[in-house]
Amino acid sequence: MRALPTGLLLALALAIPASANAQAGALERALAALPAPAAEALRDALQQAAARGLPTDPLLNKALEGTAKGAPAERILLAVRELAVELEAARDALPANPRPSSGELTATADVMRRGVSPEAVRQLARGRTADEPFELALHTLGDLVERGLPVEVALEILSTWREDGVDAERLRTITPAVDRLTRAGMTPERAGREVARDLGRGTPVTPPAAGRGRRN
Amino acid sequence: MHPELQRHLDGELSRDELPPELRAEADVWRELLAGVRMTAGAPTELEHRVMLALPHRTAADWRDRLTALWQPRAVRVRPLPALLAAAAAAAALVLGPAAWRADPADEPVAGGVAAADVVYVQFVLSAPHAQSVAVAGDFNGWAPSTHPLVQTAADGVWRGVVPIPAGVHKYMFVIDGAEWVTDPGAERYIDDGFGMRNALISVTRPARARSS
Repeated sequence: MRALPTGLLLALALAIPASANAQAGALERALAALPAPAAEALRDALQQAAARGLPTDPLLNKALEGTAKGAPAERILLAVRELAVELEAARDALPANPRPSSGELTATADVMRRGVSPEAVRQLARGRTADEPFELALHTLGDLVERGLPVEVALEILSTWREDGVDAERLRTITPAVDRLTRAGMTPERAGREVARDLGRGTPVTPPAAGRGRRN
Repeated sequence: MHPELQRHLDGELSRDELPPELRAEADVWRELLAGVRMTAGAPTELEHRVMLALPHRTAADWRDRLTALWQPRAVRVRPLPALLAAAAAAAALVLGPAAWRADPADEPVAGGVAAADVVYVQFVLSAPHAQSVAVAGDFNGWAPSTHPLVQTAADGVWRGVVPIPAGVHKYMFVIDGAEWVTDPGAERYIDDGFGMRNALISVTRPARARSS
């Protein structure tokens, strides 16, 4: 018979990801800032989310945000529970493979709250490329839908942006370009089609400055 | 042995320095020691012969060892260290399971972020009457003082550079440690669920400065 080295047991027990320590610290901070019953309810909410296969870091972050901003405990718990529901809906809208990151799930939940339908998210995710800033693409879709562009036009713009090379800086110019065109009098749909056409031509999506003519 | 004879054998005295009555005995000792020195070295090829004599390891030996891992055996454990180890494992299970699902790049870490995909972002806020300004967001666990901004001139403009992982992040400014203020120059906004509006910032490579 031989004694199992206790050091080995300890090493195995403590061989958890370093990131877990950071999250454990964040959890401790959130729990400490809440009254005991609310802290227990938060712990339950996190455990239930984890049991449903949801990432818990966005939920923990929401709790930290609420405590930092001095929100009442019940409001914090409500926000955490609502976010868990939204994350689950976001997960259902995104393809399971590749597995979405918690950042992508959060961005999806955000844009769905901004009015983007699960079907539109699904269509955007379907054409996704490996090297694109998908979270920014999601929010750009949210911008366009929020501004009243028909969803098919918004998706067409993003599809053209992908064909153009998924450049992040070019993606950033889309919403301001639509804004400038609608401020100049175009309908959102026409502004969107104009921007898509510019992207397709590889020309700058920024319209000419005032006084030098306006595109039609 | 006579002490002077010992000193002679140790090389401290020559044969001529020995008393005459010890010289014959010294000669005998030297002959004996010379014989010992000649046979004291390891026999030629001893190492090779020893290695050949060792049992030869075969694939079957490794199979036996692997099979042995599955055999039931009694393990003796010291109670106190084993209890400590079990407590550490239980603590890891209680505190850690949520984090195991988390994407490392999205960890809500206060005051630090993963090195990979980090972009240095400049935050700027004009707050002439503020005594202090900080930026808090999901990239620093909403800690209201971890990332303070600095007023470099008397123009009331506060600036600070913060390392942030790639992705879309929510944030607000905190004035004087208590007043939460939405960035008036943000890319986009979203309700925070607590009656305020968070600013959103999308961080992508390559790094770019932003201002408000």
